[in-house]
Amino acid sequence: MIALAAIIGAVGGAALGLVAGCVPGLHVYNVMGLLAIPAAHYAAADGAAGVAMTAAGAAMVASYCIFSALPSVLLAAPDESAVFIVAPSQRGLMEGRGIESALTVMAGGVCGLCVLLAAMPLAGQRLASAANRILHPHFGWILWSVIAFMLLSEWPKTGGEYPAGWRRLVRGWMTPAAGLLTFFLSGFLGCLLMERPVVPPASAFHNLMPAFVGLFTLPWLLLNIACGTRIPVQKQPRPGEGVPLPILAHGFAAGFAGGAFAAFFPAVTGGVGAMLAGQALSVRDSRAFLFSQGVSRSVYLCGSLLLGFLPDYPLLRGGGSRLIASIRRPVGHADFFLALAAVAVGASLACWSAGPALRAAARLMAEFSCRGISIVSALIALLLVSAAAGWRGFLVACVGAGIGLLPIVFGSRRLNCLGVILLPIALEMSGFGPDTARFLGPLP
Amino acid sequence: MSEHEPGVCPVCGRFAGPADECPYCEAEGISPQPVRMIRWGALFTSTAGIIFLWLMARYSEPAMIRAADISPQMHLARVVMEGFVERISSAGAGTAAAGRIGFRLCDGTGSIMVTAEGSAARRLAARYGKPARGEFITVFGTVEMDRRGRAVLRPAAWTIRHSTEKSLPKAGEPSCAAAGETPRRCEGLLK
Repeated sequence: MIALAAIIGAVGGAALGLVAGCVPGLHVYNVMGLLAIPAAHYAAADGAAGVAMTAAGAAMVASYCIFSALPSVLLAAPDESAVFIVAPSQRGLMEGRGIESALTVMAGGVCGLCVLLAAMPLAGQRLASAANRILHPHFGWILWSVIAFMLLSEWPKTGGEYPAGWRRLVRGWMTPAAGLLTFFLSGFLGCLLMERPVVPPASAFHNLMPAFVGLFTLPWLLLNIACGTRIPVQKQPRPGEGVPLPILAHGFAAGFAGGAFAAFFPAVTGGVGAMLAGQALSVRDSRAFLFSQGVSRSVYLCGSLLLGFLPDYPLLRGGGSRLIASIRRPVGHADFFLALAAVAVGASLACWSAGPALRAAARLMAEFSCRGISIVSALIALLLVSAAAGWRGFLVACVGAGIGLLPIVFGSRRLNCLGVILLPIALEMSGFGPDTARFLGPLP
Repeated sequence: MSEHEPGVCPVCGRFAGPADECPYCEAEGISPQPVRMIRWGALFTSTAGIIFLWLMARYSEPAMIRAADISPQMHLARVVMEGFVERISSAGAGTAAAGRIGFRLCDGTGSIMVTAEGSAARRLAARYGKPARGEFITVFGTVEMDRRGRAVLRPAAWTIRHSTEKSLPKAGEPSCAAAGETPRRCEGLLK
């Protein structure tokens, strides 16, 4: 009975993850968050239902992290871990090579999951517990170093064509200033959400969701709606076309390193991990770049989830493992292997569905305008925010959308929007949490 | 400039996205009017929006909750709780200077561990004083679920009141034995 429940849960969760991955702007954690309360109710009532929900959650994340390449590459960026995919893939999309780019990212995701599934039972427990014991006292300053690297690596991109003077100074500083403004505004928003009661306690679990939807989902959709960009007909990749193995290996190494760092380190997400690893390993080739982003994304999302299932030393990292722990706390080896099996089921279902889904996406893009698809996606995203966090959440998403638009329209990096979690958590880790709360207003 | 296809440079005809300057031919002012409007609209809404949100948060009263009402879905909730200090954590007894404060707060419906560490603990102890067993205390902080699924309150501020201010039975000798600990995992869903 338990085994049957696990299989049904894994297949059902994987199917739901595929749907969530196909909808632009929908993040798997949003879907899991909405399902958490009814799922916890059923899990408490019946042991087999609890096992099914656990398997469903793990499979959902696995299939989502592969399938989310579809809207990320072909329509918009659904979340921050897709930020680096957008630039090279958008170029490919406008040249009619969007399907090839999406396939490269998806292939990276599958490879990342295969290696993760092999590595977790062999070394996951020992590596995670040793690394956590050594690094835990140093999380604060490491996080500040990551922030410093992000901010210092914003550089003037324009203005060099003007003669020395005010105009050159203003043009040169426009991009870094927009980046810094984005980081501090999103950081301030994060501090407000974490230190003050903006969202009611019953929705506290979703308190960052409206901000994430606003910062990362809505801006591209709004821009698609405003500009009405026409996407050219996409060419199907020809048989025999491929990427040389050394290029793939280079991309894989960068993606796996970035994803693993992000999965382990609190507050660091896939986008930041990929940026650090990409800089460290100097990934230049666009195909290696796209492949590495697929690897990083899957290792980050599924790696952080599986860390919560480690039998003797569970580490709660990211929203996925916390959401599953809120439904039913995983205990022991049985749940660990259940999660590994569910991730494998999710990945294999995503592989089987990738071909038909890409063909369907190409047909959809030919039949409907990008503007129409973006309007529907934006409505879905706002509906989800309102359902999860009420009108206050809606307000937070609108403010977040304003901040998220800044880097796009002023040409700085969207990664700066991650100030929303980096800044408040760095302040908290350094012991400034109570001071930040006092700075934001009188305490009760 | 308004007649060309959105996102495409009118000079060289290549895709430039929302950029105002073509990255290929360096032509300026190529972004369509909606993008130019969005640019300044985003600057205004983000700055004005965050100020209004700050004001809203500043004047919002945090919800006062009871230990029995805490559920896993309240992770990261900013709340106020009040009750008696049932016991000081043995690991944290008198160790505020060493960087840890821990005590169990009992409000009659259940109890919750209140924990601060590092420099935050030192600052809280210096500003608000160290609570002692049996004192009545109001704590403003964040509910967090630890890796064992138990609720913990991370304090941002507290107010210690003399037991006589509250007419609870047996002040100074609170008993949460009957109420038990804060409900864990699936128990205690939102009322």
